[in-house]
Amino acid sequence: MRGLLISRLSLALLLVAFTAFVFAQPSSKLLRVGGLSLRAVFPAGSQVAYADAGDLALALGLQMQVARGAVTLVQGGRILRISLLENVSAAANYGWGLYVNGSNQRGQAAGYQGGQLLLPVRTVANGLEATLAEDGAGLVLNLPAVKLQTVRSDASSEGDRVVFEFSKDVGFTARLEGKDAVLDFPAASGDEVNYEVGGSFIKTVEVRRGQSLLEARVPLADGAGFSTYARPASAGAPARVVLNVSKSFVRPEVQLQARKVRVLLDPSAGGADSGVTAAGLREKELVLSFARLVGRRLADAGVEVRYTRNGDANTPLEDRRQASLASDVFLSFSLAGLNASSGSGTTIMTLAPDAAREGLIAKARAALETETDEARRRLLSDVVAVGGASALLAEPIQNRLLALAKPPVPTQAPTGQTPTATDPAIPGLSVQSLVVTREAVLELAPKAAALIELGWLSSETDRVWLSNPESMRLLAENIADGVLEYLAPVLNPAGSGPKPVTKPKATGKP
Amino acid sequence: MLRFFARWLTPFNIIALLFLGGVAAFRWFQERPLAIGVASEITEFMKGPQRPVLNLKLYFAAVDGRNFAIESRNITVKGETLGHRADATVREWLKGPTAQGALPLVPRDSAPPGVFARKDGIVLDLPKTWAKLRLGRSVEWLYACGLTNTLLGLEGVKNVTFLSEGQPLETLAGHVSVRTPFTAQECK
Repeated sequence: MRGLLISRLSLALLLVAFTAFVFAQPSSKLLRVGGLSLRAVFPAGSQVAYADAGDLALALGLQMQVARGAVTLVQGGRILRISLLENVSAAANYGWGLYVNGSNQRGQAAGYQGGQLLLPVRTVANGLEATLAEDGAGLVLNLPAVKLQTVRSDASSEGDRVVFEFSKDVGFTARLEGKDAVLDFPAASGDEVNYEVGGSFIKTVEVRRGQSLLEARVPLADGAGFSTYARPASAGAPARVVLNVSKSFVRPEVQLQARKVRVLLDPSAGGADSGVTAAGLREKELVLSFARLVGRRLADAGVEVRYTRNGDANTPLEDRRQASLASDVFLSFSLAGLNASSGSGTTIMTLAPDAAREGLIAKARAALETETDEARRRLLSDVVAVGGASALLAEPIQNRLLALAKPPVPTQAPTGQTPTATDPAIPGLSVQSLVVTREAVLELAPKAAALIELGWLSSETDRVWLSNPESMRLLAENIADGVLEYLAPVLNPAGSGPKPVTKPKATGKP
Repeated sequence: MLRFFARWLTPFNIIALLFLGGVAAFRWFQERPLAIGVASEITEFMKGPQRPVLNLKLYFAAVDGRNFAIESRNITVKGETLGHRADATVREWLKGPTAQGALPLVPRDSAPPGVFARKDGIVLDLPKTWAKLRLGRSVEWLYACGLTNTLLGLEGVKNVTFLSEGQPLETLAGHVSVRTPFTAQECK
């Protein structure tokens, strides 16, 4: 009898212990990535592991860019885009948060917790084809094995170059330690070798195995600087990481200014999607010819112009968003329409500032002051450029369009006559600016971006000037000049080079 | 062997096993990955407070195409769940405005969306034709917030999620991102 009581009591205790175990919520776990130990946290009510974005990207040797609505991670030719939500608890319930090279996959989104940007560990692992396992000590993220195959070098009087060739795409970090450039390749394996380069700036390259990584140490000549970049693996060619060393090393911010400014123009609709239609007019045709007018004006001023479409084809939204990542200015053109409505006019829309993102920009700005690593400086410079850029772009465009909408008042009149107002350059045109949220095509653009709703096809007034080539030319030229005014400090830093038009072009009446 | 198992097949052990199974099932149900907006995972017709006659505020477009025109209507609802009330509300909204100075945001003869209630929100599963509406950003925003504001008027509704044929949607009709639910704060 007593034995039976004891056995039942034991069973009851076991039951209670099991229930407690099932309900136990681990708030954090150790996460080992390469040779580093990070902390994985679990948002309230979730079993999805998250880790600090900066730490995880560093441990995996990934380049990271945070734009509105997404975190982009780059490993050689592999580009991961992870949706970004404000709240990490909501992010943990997100179903399709991962894009790998543009293809949508299942995965949780990234999110903020107390101002800290967190990445979903399993989603990142899946995107990199890595494995995430659990052992007694915590979680372990193992990248797929990658092998260093060859180290090649070129030496010249201008500069020296070392090329590391790998069996597949590899992440890496580069830093300066004393007078040595040090490159870490997480999860990479290879032989420990000393290479003789014998160049003017590099004498030797030393490859050593570290804890779950391969390290290349390159002593630099006095006064030399270095830059690095990765080339993805392609058919017949291995993945490469290139280290350039020279005395005349150009600082990254100068390189950024020196490259051509890139404007991406995005005419909406296209192909089977005609967009808004009315009275024989179709959005897809109007916005394309309009974008070309704007593009021509910008190209004449020395700006590199690209289009998300330059023919009657429909470019998927995700492709347009991805393309915007590489733009200095992104302008999307569309039209509106609602039957029986009196709505009319041109509306310039920019995305509302995101508090979390603005905080990140402020941090990046502070970090840029002290950062010496070239790759990080380049990354930080891109983030810093974001602050308020879209509002700065919208202002000159709006001012120029307002000048087209208002009748110009002459300041002088012949003696004895009173000045008389003339018709506006585009009769019936009204202009307004709006700060909006949730405009999908603007969400990823890292710098200045705006959606310009040119007019309403349901409005008879708007249809008059929308179908008038001269009005459209004036509108396009003034938008292009607004963009050039915004870009003036970059295009014309020392008062030389292409001169943006400074006055609104409102001459002539359509 | 059989005698060995029979010895352990006591009422206490059976109840304990059932309890453990129940706990495990409860945990699985709570922790299962929830893809926002997947129709199969939505609790349809969640029960809400009984209210056969509904006083609705329906949000349509004002004639200027940039603001709302709000119409009040009383309707009787068959069924007592939040899902029934939301479904009746959307169908009433689809009939369009009756007063002058207001315009419908989707064509009056449009097929109605699937309407589901879950937690503190409503999920609208839009027919494919709705995603092909081409209105431009200004009107598309009114369309999203017109439906949202109309449904937020129902007791217990705090957000509205948009799907299309059971699948998550990137945008409502080309512009407005609907990856996350709409709330009252966004549609003021």
